[in-house]
Amino acid sequence: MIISLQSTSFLFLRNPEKKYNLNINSGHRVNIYGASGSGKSCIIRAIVGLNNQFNGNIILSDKRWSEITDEKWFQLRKDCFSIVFQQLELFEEQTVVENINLVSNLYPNINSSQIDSISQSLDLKQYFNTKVKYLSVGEKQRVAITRALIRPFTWLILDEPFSHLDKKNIQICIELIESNLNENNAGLILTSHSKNNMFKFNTDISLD
Amino acid sequence: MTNKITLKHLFNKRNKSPLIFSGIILFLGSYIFILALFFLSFIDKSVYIKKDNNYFILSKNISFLNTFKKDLAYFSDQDIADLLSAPGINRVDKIYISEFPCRIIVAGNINYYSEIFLEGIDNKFLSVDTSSFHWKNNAESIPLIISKEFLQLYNYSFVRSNNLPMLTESTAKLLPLTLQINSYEGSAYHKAHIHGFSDRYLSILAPVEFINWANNQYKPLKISNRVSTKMVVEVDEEAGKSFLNFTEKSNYIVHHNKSSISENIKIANLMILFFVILGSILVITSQFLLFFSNKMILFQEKVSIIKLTYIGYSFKRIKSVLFQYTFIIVLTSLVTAIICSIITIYYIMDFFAGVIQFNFHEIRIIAVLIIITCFTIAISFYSNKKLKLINMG
Repeated sequence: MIISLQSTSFLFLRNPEKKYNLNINSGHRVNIYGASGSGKSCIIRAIVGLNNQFNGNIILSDKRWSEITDEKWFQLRKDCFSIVFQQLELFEEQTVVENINLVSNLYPNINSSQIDSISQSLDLKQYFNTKVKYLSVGEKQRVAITRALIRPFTWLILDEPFSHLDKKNIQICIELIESNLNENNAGLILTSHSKNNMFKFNTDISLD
Repeated sequence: MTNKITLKHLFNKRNKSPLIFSGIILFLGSYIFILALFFLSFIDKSVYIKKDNNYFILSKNISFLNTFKKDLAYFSDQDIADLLSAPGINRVDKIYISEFPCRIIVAGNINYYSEIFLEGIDNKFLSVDTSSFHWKNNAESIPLIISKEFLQLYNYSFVRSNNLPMLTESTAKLLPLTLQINSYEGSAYHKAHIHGFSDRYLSILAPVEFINWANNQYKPLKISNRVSTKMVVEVDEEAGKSFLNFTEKSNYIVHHNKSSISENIKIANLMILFFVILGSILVITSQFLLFFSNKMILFQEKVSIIKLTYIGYSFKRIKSVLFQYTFIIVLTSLVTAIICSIITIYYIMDFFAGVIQFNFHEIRIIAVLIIITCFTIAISFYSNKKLKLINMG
């Protein structure tokens, strides 16, 4: 799926008049970086159909944003976009394993050994039966990443996914993400505070 | 793991109460509706038959003078001639009355007897099939016509106090009866049977041939002395007012041809109809409650539902979970109501000794149960479809 931004300006950015023209081809990797409050999450949410506060066009595989129905967006978020939100959007009252299973319920072909492998790598197995609300932010981030990686996707959208992780866990996450991107032949959109080269990005977009 | 996790999250303890309450209302409404329908089917419908306004029974107004002179109560030939020439009157005939003490005895398990009097009216004034309503001296049994009011009086007023079984028209016709006629020569017994039921006359009717024969046999008087205190008249439909004016002028009493039992049955029917309507209102109310309960759940769980849509759940899928829960509640309530009402109905039938035949009505009630179930589930499905999408903007 090709994601295109055509003279797109976002109303709640620091510079709402700035227009973006971008073509992100399938399998490409994009890093959107900027200071806190620069609007990185706004752009992410617009791309996945959760924010309509923009002018111009956003086109997903030749279909305009405005032409995509709610049901189609649900389908896109199920089949194409696997997202780690900045606010994580976990179910606080459910356990770690329940949060993971909410995703695996949608995909009958998910291999349970893959779930085990990823959660083992991120050291989450010990928290499986713990309610998410009792975890630290870093542990919650690892749960959100696990949830995003266990399912099939064509685009992995990560909104400041490592902000509360230590170097060791960041490295583990990078390896897991890289492996899954290659397995799914998928593209990546990652937001961060500063430019980086974690994933050999094809395109860097600065919002500063 | 199945969708249980989604249900568990959406339907916490706080949310279940309105749904359960809706289910209880649905159960109560269905239970009342089915029972009321059963009683509505059971009540005699003859009260709704168009009132037979063309046939009247006349007698002369009894005054103080009759105490000294009984003849004043009899219709003379001149009276009859005047009646025939009165406006709106098509036909006139005497009503022949038994002039002997008579008792009707019901043989068999029903230990019942009653002192009665018999009347005879020409067959052309009768509303039942009269092809076999005749009597000859060597007849095996005397056919009798009983009023429907009498049967209802027996069933609704007499049965409980005397521990007797209730009767339908068809079972009553099978009863072996005996007429005991007492005269100064002793008692005579005649077999009898119920030929039919009339909603036109209140008296027990026997063929005119039998009345005349029995009067001769058991209280012989000269025929010329046989006069009648009651006349039956057939009146034109349009001549009602002029006929009543004539009877007032002639000082005749016009007898009503239905008793107040019909009025009681009408009142009972109205009360039962009230419960049918009440049951329907409760069923419809429960549907509204279910709809608003689901809306409330969506409102209360808005954040969770939004989060579910972020990870790929569609609103349709989430609503289907709600519908499953609604469907379970609706089905459980309906099935419980049906089972409870069937048990209650069978208990009532058993209480009344199972004499009443309900074959036709059972089919009607089963059909209604199926319609109620399908209707309720369809409404639940439709209202679930109408649940609106949350603004994701």
